[in-house]
Amino acid sequence: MNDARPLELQVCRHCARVQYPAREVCRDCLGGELERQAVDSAGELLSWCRLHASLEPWFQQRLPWIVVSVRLHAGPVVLAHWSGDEPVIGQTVGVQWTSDHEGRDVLTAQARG
Amino acid sequence: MSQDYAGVAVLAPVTIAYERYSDHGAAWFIGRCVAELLSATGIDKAQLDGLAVSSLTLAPDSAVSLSEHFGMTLRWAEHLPMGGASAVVSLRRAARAIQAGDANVVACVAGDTQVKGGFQSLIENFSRFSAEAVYPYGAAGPNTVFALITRAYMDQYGATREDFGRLCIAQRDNASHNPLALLRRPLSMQDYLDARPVAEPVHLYDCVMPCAGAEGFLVTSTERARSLGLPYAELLAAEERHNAWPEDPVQLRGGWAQFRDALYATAGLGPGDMHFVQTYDDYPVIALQQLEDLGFCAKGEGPAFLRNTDLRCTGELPMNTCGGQLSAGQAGFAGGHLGTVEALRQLTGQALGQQVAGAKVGLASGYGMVNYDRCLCSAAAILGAQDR
Ligand SMILES: [Zn+2]
Repeated sequence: MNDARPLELQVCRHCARVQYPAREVCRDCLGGELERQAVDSAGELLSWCRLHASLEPWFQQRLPWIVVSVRLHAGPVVLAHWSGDEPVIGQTVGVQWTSDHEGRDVLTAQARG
Repeated sequence: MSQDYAGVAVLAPVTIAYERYSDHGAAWFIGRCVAELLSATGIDKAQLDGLAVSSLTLAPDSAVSLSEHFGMTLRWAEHLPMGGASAVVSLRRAARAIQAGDANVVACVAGDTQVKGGFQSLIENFSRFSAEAVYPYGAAGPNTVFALITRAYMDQYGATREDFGRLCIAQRDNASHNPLALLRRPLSMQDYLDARPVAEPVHLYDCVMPCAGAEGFLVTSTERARSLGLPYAELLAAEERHNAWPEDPVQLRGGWAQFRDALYATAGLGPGDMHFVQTYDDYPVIALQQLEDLGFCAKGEGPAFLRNTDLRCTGELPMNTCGGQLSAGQAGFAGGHLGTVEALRQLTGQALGQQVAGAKVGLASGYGMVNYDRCLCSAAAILGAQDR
């Protein structure tokens, strides 16, 4: 995971609801104009798991692998790769976009003081 | 309150034996299930005018393609994309078709194949949201989502691995009597706790074994079932919800908690009247949530309930009396039909394994379609024996 970039997500032009995963229309007002904008990158750690099995060789070579779920202060719940010591439910974390081994945009989270 | 389901008969529980892997396509399992439904009841293929199908591996075919494949002309066809909720939902749809006269005899079937190496593409492309926002995070399929839910539940309500172990061990005991269950060897608490981690806190025996197979039943009128001299159960109540509680940050409750009161009111019964319950057990935490949300215990008291309640066929609340998916295996979407088919077996005295003594009313629940971070479909049906 490298190439960290600020957290931008779809935001509804009509009602300002932040969306994730990306949608075609707004989950609240069904408006059709969603624009990627910078949003608050902080959130609360909801849960986490430690993977010991994966369907893909890249992860298989790097197990165990920690994945977390985070409720962003901006609204949505996101899944993210974890960077750092063992996570704690309820802790405040920061989330940003990174590029993974396949060049996909993925979210990575870490503790934030 | 919805109109009742008077006059509807549910009959002919059929299971096509599960196999770990198969070279047959999904249509083979569904077709063989339809054939068994007909031979078990003596109904002619030409009399079967309704077909409800649910399958993960049948695509791009559907119930419509199967009408040609099976040489059937149908008055009524349904294809249900609701995964583990499809059995109860197809039962509801079929029951209304029977009441309305839109069909005379409906087969409700779910079947899937399992080819070696076929699991990954199914997982990777299960939904648009999961392809984009779940799969890239470790490529571990539903284990990731349910490990997250399991840990959040443990943290919120103080559940331990031993609590989940009690559920798995009781179901394994039930499976030990069922010749069709893939896992029948007794499971000890030590075996359970020592199992290898898969996606902590989820370990091996918290996971179902994917396999090939089919489950099905027929729906017709009580009048027709009686005239054919066939044992049947009646549908006393059924409900479904999709995308319930969307603002809950973690799925610690399902749609069952929204419709439970209506479900029991329609049946004129309460959770204490159920002689057994068949929960959807893709993971033990989900089965436990159903016990809470369907009123067998209060929210958060599931762990204590498991410590104090014997879930075996001979216990206070027999649950997943054929072993459930955790022991019988998960034949794709047929995993959701397993509980309804087993409920039907118990109520018509045709148990494959242990018969629950005096089983007259029971509940079968469904849950399906992990689109992103939770399953979206919840459903439940209360069934009663014809001579209750
Ligand atoms: Zn909007």
